[in-house]
Amino acid sequence: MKWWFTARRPLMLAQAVAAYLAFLVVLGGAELPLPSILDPGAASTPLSVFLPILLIAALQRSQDEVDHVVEATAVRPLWLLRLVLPCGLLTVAIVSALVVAAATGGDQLMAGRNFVGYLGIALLAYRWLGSRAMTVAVLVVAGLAGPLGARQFGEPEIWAFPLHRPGSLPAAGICGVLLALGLAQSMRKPSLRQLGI
Amino acid sequence: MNHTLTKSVAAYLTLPLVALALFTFGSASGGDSAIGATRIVQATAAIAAMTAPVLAGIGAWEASRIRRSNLDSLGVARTQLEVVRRSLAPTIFAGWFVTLVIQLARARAFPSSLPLLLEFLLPYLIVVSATLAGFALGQRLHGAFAIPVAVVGTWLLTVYPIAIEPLWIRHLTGYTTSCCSVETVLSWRAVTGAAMVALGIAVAGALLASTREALRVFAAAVGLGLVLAAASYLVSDLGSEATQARPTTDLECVQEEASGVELCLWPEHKQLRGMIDQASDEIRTSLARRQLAPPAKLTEGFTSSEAWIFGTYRDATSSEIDTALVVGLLPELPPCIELGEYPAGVVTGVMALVVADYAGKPEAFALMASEDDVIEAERVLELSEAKQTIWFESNIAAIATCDTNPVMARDLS
Repeated sequence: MKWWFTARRPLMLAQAVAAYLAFLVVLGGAELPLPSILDPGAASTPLSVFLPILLIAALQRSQDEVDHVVEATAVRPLWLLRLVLPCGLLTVAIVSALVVAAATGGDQLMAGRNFVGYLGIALLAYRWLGSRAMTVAVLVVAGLAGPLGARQFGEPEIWAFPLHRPGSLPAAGICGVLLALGLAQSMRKPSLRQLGI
Repeated sequence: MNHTLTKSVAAYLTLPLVALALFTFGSASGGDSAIGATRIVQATAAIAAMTAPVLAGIGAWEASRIRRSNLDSLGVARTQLEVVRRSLAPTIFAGWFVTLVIQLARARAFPSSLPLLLEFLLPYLIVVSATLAGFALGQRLHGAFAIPVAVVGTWLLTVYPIAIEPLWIRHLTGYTTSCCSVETVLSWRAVTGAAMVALGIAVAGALLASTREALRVFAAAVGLGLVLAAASYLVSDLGSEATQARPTTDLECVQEEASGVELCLWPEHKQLRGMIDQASDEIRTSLARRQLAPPAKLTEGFTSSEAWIFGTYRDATSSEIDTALVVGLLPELPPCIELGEYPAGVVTGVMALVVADYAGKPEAFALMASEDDVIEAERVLELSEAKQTIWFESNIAAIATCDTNPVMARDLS
């Protein structure tokens, strides 16, 4: 258990979470006046689209020095342990979003909601493509949503869930489904990709 | 080389990058898309906004692969710069290929001036600078962090400046969205500034990627700072647009020998010459009945204050040309209107309607006039000819200043 935890670089994770919380408090409700390529009228992109990528990057970094082969052949079943880190970060993201949004009245809930969706994508990418694809997969979704996900008058396309307002049911549904799929994949025996083979 | 190519992620991303850049280009706005310069500028903007961030991310990815290989701890025969070159060559060639495809497919016109030629070459420089900057970042940060920072950072640095002040900052990125209408050309200052910044980043990126010596890192930072300062100085005179007035020597002028009337048009509008000739003749005839004579020279670009200046566009209809010509007859508003009160403001709309009527084109402003102006214009046109002349001459004088009260129709009736 101790080895398992140490291999996941707890100090780096703590630093990343601290940086995320600081950014969330200072910038989480901000909207950058970035022009959308499809809708010149939608002249702002919420920073909450990009902020949660920091936690996904930390999650990917934490997998880098893990000996996956040893863990896959361990006597004790580790499927529950594999959920600890994603669920821990999930709790941090949701609780911090709720607290900061309640305290400031801003749109920080979007960051929490987006992390849910991003985590699902990252876990699926981890399963199918390996740990190095986690951040890149999330980046593709966020990167396409920012400049290409706005329809006319700033209304987001249905697939561009990171741009939806905090109360959007479709976005919440998409994020929930992605997370459920990602967690379900994490509970399975590691794939060869995950083992780096 | 084959090994490098098949292992490079850029090789697999080339076609998606072409599609993304074409898509971005297709939705680009700003400028008259019928003009070759606009299409060249839009091609550059599409590369800067959508391709460069991805290439920066690929650069960071390649650097993270070399980090993982622990190459530094091995006895490497090649120099660090050679390792960087071999690692990034497929990415840079992929970026150049995307640029070439976009330019061949969409830019169409070949650059016709030196600034445009530089704008044409600028995306190739942006490709190199973004890739090298991403690589340098990837050498110093773990790939998990370097790739998102490279992609999001490059994108923000490219497109965010158009949303902030001072307005000239936007001209340093190559993401130009405001060029060109027919009466403007791309400013050499804007394109040179963007090229200097891209070159500075490319050189600094190459220095940072090929060494970890503190002195060279310091030199890269100082050099980039100096280039940024010089480029900023170069573009700081520009406003929000990367354009300057087009030289009036480009105008194509034809003079009627009998009447001395001259018509000057931009070459892009030569097909409108017949329509404009006919409409201006009708207006001159109609105004002559009121003993009014517009200047003999009718021109699109500003050549002198004595000319009848108007503006139109390639697909203008005859009624749009009528409106443009009547607008050209209206008195110019004085610069002081931005400073405070402008009493003659109440008659500018009425003057437009009256002039349109005198010009025999009463429908020129029919759709855009306010109801009050229409009523006042009707009152003016019902006055006797002598009183109309007083109204016209008094208000032409009033409109030209900010301290003269206008004459209303009721004052004369």
